[in-house]
Amino acid sequence: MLALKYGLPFFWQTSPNLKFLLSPTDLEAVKNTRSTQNVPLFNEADDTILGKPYVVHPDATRVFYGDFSVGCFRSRTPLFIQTFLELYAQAGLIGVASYQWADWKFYAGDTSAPNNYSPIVYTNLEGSGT
Amino acid sequence: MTIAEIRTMRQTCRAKVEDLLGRTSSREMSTEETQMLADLKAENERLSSLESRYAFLESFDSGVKPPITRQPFVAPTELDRKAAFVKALDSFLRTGKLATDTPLQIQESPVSGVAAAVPTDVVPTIVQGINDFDICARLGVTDYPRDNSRPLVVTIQSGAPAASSYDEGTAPSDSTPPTYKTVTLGGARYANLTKYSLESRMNLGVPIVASVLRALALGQIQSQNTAFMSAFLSAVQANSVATFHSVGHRHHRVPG
Repeated sequence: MLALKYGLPFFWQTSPNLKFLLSPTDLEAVKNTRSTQNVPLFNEADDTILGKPYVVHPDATRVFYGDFSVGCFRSRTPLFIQTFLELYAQAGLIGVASYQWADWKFYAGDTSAPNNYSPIVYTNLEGSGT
Repeated sequence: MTIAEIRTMRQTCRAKVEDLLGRTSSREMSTEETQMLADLKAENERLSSLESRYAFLESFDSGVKPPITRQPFVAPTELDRKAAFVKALDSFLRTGKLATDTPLQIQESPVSGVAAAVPTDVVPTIVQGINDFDICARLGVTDYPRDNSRPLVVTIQSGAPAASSYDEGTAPSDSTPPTYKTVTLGGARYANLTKYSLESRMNLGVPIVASVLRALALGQIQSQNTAFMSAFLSAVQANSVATFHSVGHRHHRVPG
């Protein structure tokens, strides 16, 4: 976690939007961990990890850290609701469908740039794979 | 000018003619009176023509008159009405689509316990057993709320031209542009469908319509969260040289 926080390119380190993203399992591991200076990584007083806010979600298969407002872009339409009153009427049913167009793109550094700086870094706490 | 004014003028003209004819009824008209009668005749024709033209003009102001709807002389019998109604309803309902998959029915799976006979035993909290939140919103990603899915190009400036020191009389001659990276946002359609029975809708124990709508919205969030995380992980892994830090080792060189 310390490597993530301080491994982020230095000019992203002053961003006001820095956050951790991790799974509940990884959060539990972080809560039970101290640094080599015997300082808990998780601060119960202000609910932060190494002084930074965090987001927990089961779909997070790694631990991510960085400025997500620079690294992630999302396009999304409103959620449309469509009601089918007649389509399934023979079976005595009413159908309700929802649909929404969404897309995501990411900026995780630029290998063609002179300096390949990424606003987001990640690790795998399980220690295997990337 | 209006039709009413024209008609007043015609009445005046008529009175003059009547007066002239009255005065000359017992003798021949003089040359002057003959000329006056000819003038009044011409004036009458002019006003008559004018009246028909202004009638056309004022017809614009009278609006459209509703057509006269005449009822059939012979009323249809009750049998005819019923046959017509059944035929209309049949063509209205028969779409060729049959609900042969898995609808939500309260007396069968998945909410078999919520039978119509026991509606008052149901507590609304049973429809709140699922929850989720929008990962992107929590993370504060840059959002582009849009009403279409046309490609949207986002440009990121990712590199600046390096500067060097130069002696007197020298200067850079080659242009070095900044480095830019673009990403293009499109849009995949995420959709889901729930069918619920009329019986489940009429059951008062469960607010089934609100429950279905909430579940559809949550299903969208869950699916999009999963898709977002998968795409996000692929993106950062594609440039793992800059983004990956192994556990316990700081093998990544801090730039700068």
